[in-house]
Amino acid sequence: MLEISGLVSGYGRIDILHGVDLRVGKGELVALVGVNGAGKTTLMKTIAGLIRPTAGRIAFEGAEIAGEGAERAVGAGIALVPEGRMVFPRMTVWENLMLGGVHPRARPYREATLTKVFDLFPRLAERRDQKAATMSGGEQQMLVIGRGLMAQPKLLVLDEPSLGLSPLLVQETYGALRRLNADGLTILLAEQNVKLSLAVSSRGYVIENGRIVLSGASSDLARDPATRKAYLGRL
Amino acid sequence: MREGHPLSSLALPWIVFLAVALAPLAISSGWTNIAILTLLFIYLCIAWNIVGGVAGQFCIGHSLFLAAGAYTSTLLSLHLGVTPWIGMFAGAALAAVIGAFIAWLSFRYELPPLSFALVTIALAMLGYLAISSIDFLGASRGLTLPVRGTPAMYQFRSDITYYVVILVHVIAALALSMWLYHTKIGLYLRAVRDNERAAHAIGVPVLRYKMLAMAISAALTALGGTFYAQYLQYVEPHTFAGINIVIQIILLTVVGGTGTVWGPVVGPMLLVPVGEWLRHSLGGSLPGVHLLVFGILLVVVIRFAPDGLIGAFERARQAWRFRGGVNKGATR
Amino acid sequence: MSGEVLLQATVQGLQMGAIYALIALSMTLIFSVGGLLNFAHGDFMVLAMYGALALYQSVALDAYAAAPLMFFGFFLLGFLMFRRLVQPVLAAGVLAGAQLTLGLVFVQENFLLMVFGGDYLSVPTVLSNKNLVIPPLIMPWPLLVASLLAVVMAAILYVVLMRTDFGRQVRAITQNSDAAALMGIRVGRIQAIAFGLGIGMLGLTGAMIVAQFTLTPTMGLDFTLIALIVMVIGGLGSFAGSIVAGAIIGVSESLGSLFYGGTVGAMIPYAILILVLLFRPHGLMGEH
Repeated sequence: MLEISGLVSGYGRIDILHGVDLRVGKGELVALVGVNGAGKTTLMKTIAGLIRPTAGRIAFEGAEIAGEGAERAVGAGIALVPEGRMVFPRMTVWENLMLGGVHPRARPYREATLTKVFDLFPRLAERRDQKAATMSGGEQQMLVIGRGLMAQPKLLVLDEPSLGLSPLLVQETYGALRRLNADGLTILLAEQNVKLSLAVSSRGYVIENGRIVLSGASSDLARDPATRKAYLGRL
Repeated sequence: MREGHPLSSLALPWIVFLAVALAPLAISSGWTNIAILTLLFIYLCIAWNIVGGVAGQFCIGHSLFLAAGAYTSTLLSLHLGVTPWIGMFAGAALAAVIGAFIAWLSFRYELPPLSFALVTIALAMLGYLAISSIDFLGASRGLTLPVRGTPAMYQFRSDITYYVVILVHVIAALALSMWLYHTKIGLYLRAVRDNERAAHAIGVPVLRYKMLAMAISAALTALGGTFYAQYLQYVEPHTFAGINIVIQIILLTVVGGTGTVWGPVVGPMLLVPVGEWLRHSLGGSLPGVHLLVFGILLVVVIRFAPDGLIGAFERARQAWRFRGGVNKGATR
Repeated sequence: MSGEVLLQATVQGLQMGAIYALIALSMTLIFSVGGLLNFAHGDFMVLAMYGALALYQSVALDAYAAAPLMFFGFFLLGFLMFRRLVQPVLAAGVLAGAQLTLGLVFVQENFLLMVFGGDYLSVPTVLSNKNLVIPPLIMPWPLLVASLLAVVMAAILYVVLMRTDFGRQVRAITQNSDAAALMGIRVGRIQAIAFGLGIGMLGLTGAMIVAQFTLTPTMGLDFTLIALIVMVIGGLGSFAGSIVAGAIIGVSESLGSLFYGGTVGAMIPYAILILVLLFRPHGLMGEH
C-alpha cells in the first residue's frame, strides 16, 4: 500500500533522512523503531505531507504523493497522529473530532465514524464537551487517535503514541490499535519503545541516523542482538 | 562582522554620497529646499535606524524626541534668550532620558516586539495630545520663533547655510553609525536584535545596550528637531509631535534597508526628491499625489524586497559573485 | 453634573463601544488567523465610508443600502490582498507585514486626499440628523442604528466562528496551524477567506456608521489605534473580551471627555493601553 524509496528529507538545508526505503502492505501493522533524533518524526511528517522531501518517492496505492502537501495525503487516505499529540487546546473533544473529519473525503461519514470512535474510547464520550487542554495525557492521546480515525484513513500513521503515558494507558492504547488493525486498518507505528512496538506488529524497521539499518519480521527483530546494538548505538 | 573590508569598498559609498550631497551647492537655489529636506530625512533615518534597525527595536515613538528637541530649544530661546546652539543640547539630553526610560520599560516588562511598537505609538500619541492642549507649549497653534537674525542664534539668511549645517549633522551621524556598527557596541546590539535571549545568556548586558542605543538615537533625533524648528521658524504639534513624520522615517528606512549603514541614506536620497518633485509638479491639481506615489513605491519595495534596496543590492552582488556556479569558499 | 447628562454620556459611550468592539473583532480575526498586525485597518473602513459617499453622489444610493455591496466588494479586496500582497510579505516576518500596512496607510490616506480633497465631508442618509427621544435620553438615530447593527454583526460572527465547520477551521488554525494542516485543512485558503471576511466586515461597518461621522482622509489611523487598544485590552482571541473592552473604552472616552474635555478624553484609551501592555499583557480576559 505504501512504498517509500530513496527518501531524503529534513528541515531547511539540514537533511535528517538520507535515503530511506520502507514498505507497508495492506492490512499490516508495521513498526518503526529508533532513538530520539534518528529520524522517525521527520519520516512520519514527510509521509503525512507536512514536510517536502528533497529526493525520493512516496507511492500510496500506486499514486505518487511525495511533496504534495498534507491535504493531498489526507485526500489519499493517510492520517497522522502526531508526536506530542497536538490537540486543539481550546476546543472541546467533540469539536476536535469534528475537525478530524472535515476533509471532503471523510465528511459524509462523520456521524457514523464519530459513533465508532466513541465506542472505541468510551472515556471520550464522557468528556464530549470538555476542552481538550484540560484533559490528561492519556485522554488526549485517545482523542488524537480518534481524530485521526475521523479522517477515514486507509493508513493510520502514529508517532510515539506511548510517550508520556502510564503503563496502564499504554496497554489501553495499544489494545485499541490491535483491535483497529484486526478490523482491517493498516497501521504504521513509530516508537522508541522497542519491546512494545515489536510485540504488537508483524514487521518492523530499525532507523538510525536517518537510514534504515535493519528490517524484517518483528519476532526476528526482537530476538536479534543487532537490534539492540543499533538501538543503543555505539558506546 | 569585522571582515577586512578593502579600502575601496569602504570609501566608495562615501565618495558617491559626498559627490551627490555636495552637488546642490553648485546648482541653482531652487533645489536647495528639496536638498535640505532630503538631508534632514537622511539624518532622522540614520538616527532611527540605530535603534530600529541595528538594535532591532521597532520604535514608533521618535516624534517624542523630535518634539523634545524642537520645543526645548524654542522655549529656552523664547523665554530665556538662550541660543538654540546650547538649547539643542538641552533638548537632546531630555530626549535621551525619555528614550532610556522607554528602553528600560521594555526590558523591565519584557515586551515582545509588537507590544513594544504599540507602547511607543501610545506614548507618541499621548505626547501629541498633551502638547496640543498645553498653552505654554503653544497648544495646537504652535510657537513662532523670535526673529533674531544672527547665526549666533541659529538663524541664517541664506538657505545654503542651513544646507551646510544639516550636511554636517548627516556626516557626523553617518560616521557615528558606522563606528557603532563596526565596533563591539554594534556587534552587541545586533546580537540583541537577532536573539535577545541568547545574547543575554552569553553575557551581553542587554539592558545597558538597549538604553544606550535608545539614548543615542533619541538625542540625535532631538538635534534634528531643533534644526527643523530653526529652519521652519516655528514649531507646532502636528509636524513635530505627530505620528506621520515617524511613519515616513520608518518607511524610508525600510525601503533603504533597516539595520544597514547605508540603508537610511539610500531610502530618503531616492524617495524624498521624487516626492517633492511630484508635489511641486502635480500637488496643486492633485493634492497628496506625491505621498500616494510614495506609498505605492513603498508597498512595492516591501513586497518584492522586504530587506530593502540595500538588501536587494547585496543579494544581487552575491549572485553575481557566485555566478560561476561554484561556491567559492562558502561554507554550508 | 446632572444624572441625566451622565446617563446620556454613558449610553453614548456604550454605543460607540459596540462599534469599537466590532472593528476590534475584525482586526482580531485578521491578526490571529492571518498573522498580520494591520495598521491600515481603520483606513479600510474610512475607504468604505468614502465609497458610500461616492455611491451616494453618483447613483443616489443610500449608505445603508450600499452596505451589503460594500461587504462583498471589500471581501474580494481582502481576499486578493491576502493572496497577492500579505502572504508573500509575511514570509519575511511579522514586522515586515506591519511595515507593509504602514505603507498601505500612506497609500489609502493620500488616495482619498487626492480624489476627495482635504475638506470635511458628510454623507446624507435617511437617518441623518434625526433623533430617537426616550426621556431623558436623546439618541441620534445614526449612532443607535450603527451600534445595534454592530451587535447583530458580532453575534453573527460568533455563530459562524463557534457553530460552523468553517469557523472551527478558523479557530483550529489559530490554535495549532500544523495540526490543522494534518486534518487536511487548506490553511492558506482559509486564511485568505478569513482575511477577506475581516476586510469585508470593515466595508460593511464603514457604510453602517458613515452617517455618524464627518469624513476626512486622515481619520483612519485614529480608528486603527482605538481598535488596537480594544483588541489588546480584551485579550487577543477572546470574543467576550473584545466586547467588554469596547464598552470600557467607549464609556471611558465619553465620560473622560465629559469631565475633563476632549483632549483628555482622547488620551485615556492610550494610557489604558500602555498600562495593560505592561501589567496584563494577555488582556483583561485573555487566555493562558
